[in-house]
Amino acid sequence: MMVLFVLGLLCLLYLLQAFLYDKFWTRGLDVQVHFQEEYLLEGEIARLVEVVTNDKLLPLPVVEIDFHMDKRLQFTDEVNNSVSDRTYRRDVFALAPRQKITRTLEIKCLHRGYFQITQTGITAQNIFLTKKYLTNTTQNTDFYVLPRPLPVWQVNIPFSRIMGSVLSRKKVYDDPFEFAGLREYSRSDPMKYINWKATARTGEMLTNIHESTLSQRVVFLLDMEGSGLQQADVLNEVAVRVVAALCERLLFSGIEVDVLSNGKDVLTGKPLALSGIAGSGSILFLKKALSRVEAENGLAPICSFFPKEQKEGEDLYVLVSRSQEQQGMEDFSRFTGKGKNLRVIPYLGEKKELVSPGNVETLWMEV
Amino acid sequence: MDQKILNFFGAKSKRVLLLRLLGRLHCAMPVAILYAMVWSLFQGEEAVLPAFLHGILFAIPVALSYYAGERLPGLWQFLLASLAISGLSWLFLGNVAGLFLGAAVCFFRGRARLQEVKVESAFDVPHVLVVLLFLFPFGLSAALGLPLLQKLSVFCAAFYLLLWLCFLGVRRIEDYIELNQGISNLPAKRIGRTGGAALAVFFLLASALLLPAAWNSFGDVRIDLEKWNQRPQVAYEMKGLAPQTDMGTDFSELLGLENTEPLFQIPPFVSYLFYALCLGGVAALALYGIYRIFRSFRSSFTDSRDVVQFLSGRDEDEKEPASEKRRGKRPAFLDHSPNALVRRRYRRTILKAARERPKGWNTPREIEQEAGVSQQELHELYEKARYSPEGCSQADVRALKNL
Repeated sequence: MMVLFVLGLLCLLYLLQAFLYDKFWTRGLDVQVHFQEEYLLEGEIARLVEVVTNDKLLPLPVVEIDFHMDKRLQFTDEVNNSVSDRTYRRDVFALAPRQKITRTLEIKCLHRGYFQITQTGITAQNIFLTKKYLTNTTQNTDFYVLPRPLPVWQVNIPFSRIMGSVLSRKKVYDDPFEFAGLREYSRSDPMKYINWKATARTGEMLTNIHESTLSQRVVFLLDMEGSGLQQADVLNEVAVRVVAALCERLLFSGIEVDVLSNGKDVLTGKPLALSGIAGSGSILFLKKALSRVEAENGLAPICSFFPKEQKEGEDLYVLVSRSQEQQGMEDFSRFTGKGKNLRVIPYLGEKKELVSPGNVETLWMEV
Repeated sequence: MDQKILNFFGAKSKRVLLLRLLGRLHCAMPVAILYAMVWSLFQGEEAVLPAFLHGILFAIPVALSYYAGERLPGLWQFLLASLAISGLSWLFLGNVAGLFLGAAVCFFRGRARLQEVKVESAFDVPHVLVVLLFLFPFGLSAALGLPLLQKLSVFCAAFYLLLWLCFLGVRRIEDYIELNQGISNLPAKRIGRTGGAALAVFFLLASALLLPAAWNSFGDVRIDLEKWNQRPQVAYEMKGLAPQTDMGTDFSELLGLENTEPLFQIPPFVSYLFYALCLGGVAALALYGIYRIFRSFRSSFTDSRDVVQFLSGRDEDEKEPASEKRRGKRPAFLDHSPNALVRRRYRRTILKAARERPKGWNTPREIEQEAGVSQQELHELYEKARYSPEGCSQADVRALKNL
């Protein structure tokens, strides 16, 4: 009789622990997954930190944390992952009462991109591992892999071409509202630049010197059409790197840049359109935006993203596209009109003969 | 040293070794009690205990047959070993029945060895249904009046039940670790420690409660066969409720109370419940003490890639002031402050009206909209109770009652 009573008591004890776990297993359990760095360059090693806290007196002998991540980020220990179209990661923790465990995982940044972890799954088990409990928690962590910088020798040529064009325009188009000083009149000066007041005061013919226009702007047109094929992927990535590298140097030189692309920004879902970016402080912003652009198949042609209104001769247009179609060249030529603009074509092995119209300078860049 | 022992027994871990030990006992326990039952039929109750102890030794031939099956490469070697094991079994049991039992175990081991697909042998895995085997000696002892055999059978059944539970628990831990051993940074040691400690506590507590109860069973359940013949029913006759202690001192005789009936006697299960509660309390205190010591000595440590920290009271203080924390939580059961009364009333109103449980992140206004409650006064009182610095007063409670 007593034995049966004790057996009943033990059953009650077991049920009590089951009840306690059913009721309280989530209490004080907190899972945080976050990237340690905000951004890194392609090829660098980032760190992902998992912090699991069990702030209660019930121990959790097994807590499994799982989440999905883009496969362009590769865990250095590939054991706990299963990779399909995304990487599925599962980590196991054992938590004693009122314990916090911090685990740091290393990730290799294989490709440029913007990565988010928005949700983690939690699977815990009770003390006798007889029952599983499942839940999800929301995470809010993101990470940028910025485009890898191009070697200096590769950037120098397009940069010097762009700067040449910018400087030549600077000389031609003065800004009449920006006064730089006075000088003696020479016969070639236009009459409208003669400063009559100063001439009357000094008795000598003096003309105004103007600063060049401050709206010197380079507009980059980035074509991201094509994905899935190895060649297209590589060349599109190079195109992004070219734009990032050129923008960086131009911003350092105090020149304003715009970037337009047919590739979609993964955050907004709309084609990338950045305008009026100036100053070296904007470089990170621009690179982050370029990290978010995705190449796709079936994108609208880049010519449909050419600006509708253009001040002829003021802006310099640089089209960066892997496309070797003659039609593209002609569209760009028609759009740019009289001014001299630049087209950069990254290529891998195959190089078609293209007829460059007079107003477009073509620059082939071998990858 | 530990590793050498594990290698010697061919076990991957201590847990596997423990599982094997439990497996051997699982085999030996029913054999021992049945063996004791058979002997008691021929030689009376005096033979029960020696026969039982002989039967326990049957664990050794079972273990040897397992290792013979695992380690000996040739069939002829296994057959030779089987002969030796059967002989040993005969020696241990002191009867020719031992030879047959040993031979039977070796036969089944050999058959399992010849099968392509490895199946876990029933000799190694305890099963709860095996407890039914202990009913035979129990029934026989009740019919023939063999209290020692009855006591032993109850004790063995209880012990076997514990053994089965322990085996299940350890095996769950081992299976989990083995299944996930490919995962990097798997905290196998910590899983084993945490799960194992919980299991050990439960096992010790269960043993401390169950085994004394089983051993102190009186062994006096009788089946009166004569009555059975007259009326088709089983009569259970309890000869007394007081446990027979070894101390042997009968205080009632000294006090001259041998013929007086006590007015009230505490039922044994109540005293046992008290004993269980005391035991549980002591176990909990011991555990808490170990936890405190462990925490104060090792506030944080590194295990592989994990930085393990114990949360101290200071961490909580940094997070949130205590008063604010109390405000955020649901009022305590015994809290009858105006704030608690208002919040309870609000909660009841919402839960009554809402179809689904409100989400934790919704504002009171959103919760009310979802529930379809529109009581402005209640809303204001709740916000005052929950968020205002001064909180609600008795006047607010009175106003609440009038709503």
